Amino acid sequence: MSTSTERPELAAYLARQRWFAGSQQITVTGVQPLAWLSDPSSDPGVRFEIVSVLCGADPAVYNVPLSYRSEPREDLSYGFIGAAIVDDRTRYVYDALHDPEARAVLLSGFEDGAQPPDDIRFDRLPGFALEPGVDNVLLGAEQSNTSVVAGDALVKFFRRLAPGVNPDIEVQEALTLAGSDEISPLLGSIRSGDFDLAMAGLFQRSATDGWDTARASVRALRDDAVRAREAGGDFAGEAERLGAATLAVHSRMRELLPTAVWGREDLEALVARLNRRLDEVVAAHPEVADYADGARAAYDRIDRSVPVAVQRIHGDFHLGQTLRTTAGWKIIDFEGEPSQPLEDRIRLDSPLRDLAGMLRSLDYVAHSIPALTGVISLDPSVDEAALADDWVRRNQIAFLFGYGFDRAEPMVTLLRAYEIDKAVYEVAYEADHRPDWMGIPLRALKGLIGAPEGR
Amino acid sequence: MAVTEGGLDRSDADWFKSAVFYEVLIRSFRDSSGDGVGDLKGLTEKLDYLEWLGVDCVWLPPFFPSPLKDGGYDVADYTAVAPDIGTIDDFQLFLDAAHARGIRVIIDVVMNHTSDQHPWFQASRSDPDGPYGDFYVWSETDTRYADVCNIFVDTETSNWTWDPVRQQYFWHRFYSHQPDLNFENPAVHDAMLSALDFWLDRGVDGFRLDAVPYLYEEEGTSSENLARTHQFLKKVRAHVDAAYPGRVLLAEANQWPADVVDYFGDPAVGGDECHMCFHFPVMPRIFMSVRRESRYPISEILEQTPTVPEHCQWGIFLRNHDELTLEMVTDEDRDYMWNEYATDPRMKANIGIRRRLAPLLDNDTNQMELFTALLLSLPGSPVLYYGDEIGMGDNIWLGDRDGVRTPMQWTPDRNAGFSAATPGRLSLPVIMDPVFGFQAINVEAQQASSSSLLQWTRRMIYVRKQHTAFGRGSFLDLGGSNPSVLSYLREDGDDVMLCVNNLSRFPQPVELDLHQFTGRRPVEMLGGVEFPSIGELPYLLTLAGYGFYWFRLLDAGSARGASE
Repeated sequence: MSTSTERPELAAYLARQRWFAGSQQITVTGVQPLAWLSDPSSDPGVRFEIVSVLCGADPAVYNVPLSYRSEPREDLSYGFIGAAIVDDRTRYVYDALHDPEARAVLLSGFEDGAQPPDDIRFDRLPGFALEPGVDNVLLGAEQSNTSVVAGDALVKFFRRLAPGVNPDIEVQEALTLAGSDEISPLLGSIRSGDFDLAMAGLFQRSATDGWDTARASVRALRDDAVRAREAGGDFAGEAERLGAATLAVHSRMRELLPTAVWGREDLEALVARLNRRLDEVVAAHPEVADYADGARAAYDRIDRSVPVAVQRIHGDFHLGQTLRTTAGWKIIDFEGEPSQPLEDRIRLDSPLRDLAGMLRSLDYVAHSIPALTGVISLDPSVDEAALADDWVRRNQIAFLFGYGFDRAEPMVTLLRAYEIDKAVYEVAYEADHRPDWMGIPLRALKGLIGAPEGR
Repeated sequence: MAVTEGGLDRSDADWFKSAVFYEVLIRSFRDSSGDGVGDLKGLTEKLDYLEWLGVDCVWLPPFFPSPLKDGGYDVADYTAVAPDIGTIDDFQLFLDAAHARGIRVIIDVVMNHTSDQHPWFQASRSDPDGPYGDFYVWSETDTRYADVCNIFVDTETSNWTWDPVRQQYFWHRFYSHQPDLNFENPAVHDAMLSALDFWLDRGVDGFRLDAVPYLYEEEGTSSENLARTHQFLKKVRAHVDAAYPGRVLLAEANQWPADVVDYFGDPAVGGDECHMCFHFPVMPRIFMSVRRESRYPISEILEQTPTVPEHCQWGIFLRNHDELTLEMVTDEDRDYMWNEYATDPRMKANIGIRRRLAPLLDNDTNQMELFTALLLSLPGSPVLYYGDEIGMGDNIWLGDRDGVRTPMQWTPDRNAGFSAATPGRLSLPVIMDPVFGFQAINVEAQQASSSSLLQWTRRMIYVRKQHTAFGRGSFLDLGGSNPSVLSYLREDGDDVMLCVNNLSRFPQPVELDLHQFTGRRPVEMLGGVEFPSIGELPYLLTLAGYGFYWFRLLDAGSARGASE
């Protein structure tokens, strides 16, 4: 069924894509096309294709909707993959998400009365339907998915697939049906067999992500060179409201999804996990060694005798996973950390892990602008790092206040441990991706481990 | 009734939707008599200036006889002119001269209360059984309407004051020298309507209705926005529409937009109370947005603003003679502004103290232009405050409201060209500091310089007037990738304006989703420069700090000129 001629071109195309994770030698080991969504003899013939690859030695599965045309199209050349023979005819194959007409075919399954083939399901939540022929726009480059805006919907096509329910769909569906105001509602999803191929949510036209919003505040702070609370771009009100939104989402997730309580053994296991990650990072990155003893001591302070309530959490919570809209903060992307295996992404954990993620993100954003501009201080008499730290402190406190964080000792200790763990992970990440930024988590480790007890 | 009256086209009943309003304090604008007080003849002399600037409608705060304990809002006679300002004949000459230039005039009417010096009150207290005995709200006790808040906590201890003459308490929502009229009494309705008729017969184009939410009182309520208050306003509107079509009622209801919309009346008939209402919260939001370098304070309030009935319009302003106090519009439950203000000493001070635009913005021309561009392009009819078009300063030492009521600065000559009086005789001193003094800031100098704030403001007003999208068009917040850039579309049929404003001091990029206008070509309005055509991809713009653009989106056909 699948055509062999397209494979080398397909491998080459995948290798060029930002959403394709591997950079080594790619071999396409199998292509499983789903049924045609449009008549294959028409232009364009469109179908999803599930592509299995070997990336070096690692297998992976990708979602590659393709469009087949009888004539080459100059204006679509960006998404051109190669030529293929289908039913004895030469067809020109394009990435369907870069072909506006093909996109319309992909989306038409969300219309009222649509009858997609048997091997694919377009699920719609109550009240959602795309208008027939609604125009659609491809959003700019994204890290791991490809998104299309159609009407009021944002349809996110997952690229790398994992069998089983995508946690983003699972969590957002539960929260949407419960009427949560603090997320961007789910509208529908596309599934085939064991794979979730895409999800549709409400497009937040007025939104800006939290990272950019916070950075506007940090820029103003640098220019004003005053304490954060006096700066025109003060962010504390936003941080407090973000804390409140986070609490609301955590509470709903606790009501709607599985929960448990961690006893002594679970906490021992947690400490072991934390130590294991630390050991791995120390082995690869000697810069962290100076902090290893302090980190272990902080992990060891976790009180195993106090049970910890655990639940489904966001799992990869940072400012980039939040949207500031004209109707307040929305929390998005409940996929967990995309690089982790599914079982880790849906593991029950303390919501403090999310809080730690946001505290780290607030620290990152404050120190990211000097890291970007390379200018440490505009005025040598101003200690800019101290001003940034003041901003971080003020906004971390405001965020925790908005969340209603319980400052009991075991909670503070656990939160601190998660923060250290996150910072350790960040050192490893930056060493691989942005060595210029390594100073940010290292500096944070110094503060987290050197600082006195309590916050 | 003639359709054309003086220079006015009375056939356009919705004229106010696209008008530029200008608030002028007669006593501070131009003194023709040399007695140190601005007057109606002086204002008439300056109509050429207002016409040149592009003003469509002049708003005159109270100029009636008054003890002036509340800036003239304590009216002692509804149908006369204060003697230091002029006469009824002077007013008629002014009005006719304004109309001859196509400029309309609206005046203030204080319905809720009078001065205690008004003959009605004097008669009411001395003759309880006489014709005016029931004109005010009298009571044996000072305990009724206990749920009503006391607006002037600093100066008044109660909303009731004992009158030793009548031996009863009288009700006053505001100061104790301003007794509230009793709208339960039909004779008060008649008296108020005949006061309106007096001015409408002279040709006045409408009224700004002061403090409208408070006309009636009802036990067990806050006595604001009561149903009978709305009924009375409907009665006023019906009366004006029947006898004087094309005149406008502009309500001052210092409330949240969701409550203010009730003062437009029934949307099913296009509105049957006031044609216009002031939109109070938008002004502090603009200041907050620029201070926070975030579009959200503005975007949020516009999202919370209900649509108005078809024949209605918001009035928006940056400054006026009488600022809002935040306490009157803020409700923590539904709004976060209170929290933001309470923690920012500078914002609190700016809003609490009455300052002019220029000193509030550190005399930064870029910010003044950005604020003015917002005022002229956000939904609603802009109301300019005299002097702000030249960036006049204020005098905080004069206290209360007088600091922003100093004489208009016409020239660098004596008394700023405002008056020929001995400088010591001026009712309020002209501004003389080195930055904002009349030698530095005056109309004459700015008219002579093409790069002045005055010339720039005038050009912007002219651009606005050529595009119905601003006055009558829909509003769509475009959002966009950058939280510091506020972008919106104003659209009235084929007239599509794109406004992009950088609220930050730093240069900013923004990507806008304009794909619905694919093929159209943005033309920048001040220079007429054609920008690249809109395609399917996000439209990228970069703006200088506090920079802004007004674009007209020309469709592909009309973008190609005759030379092609």
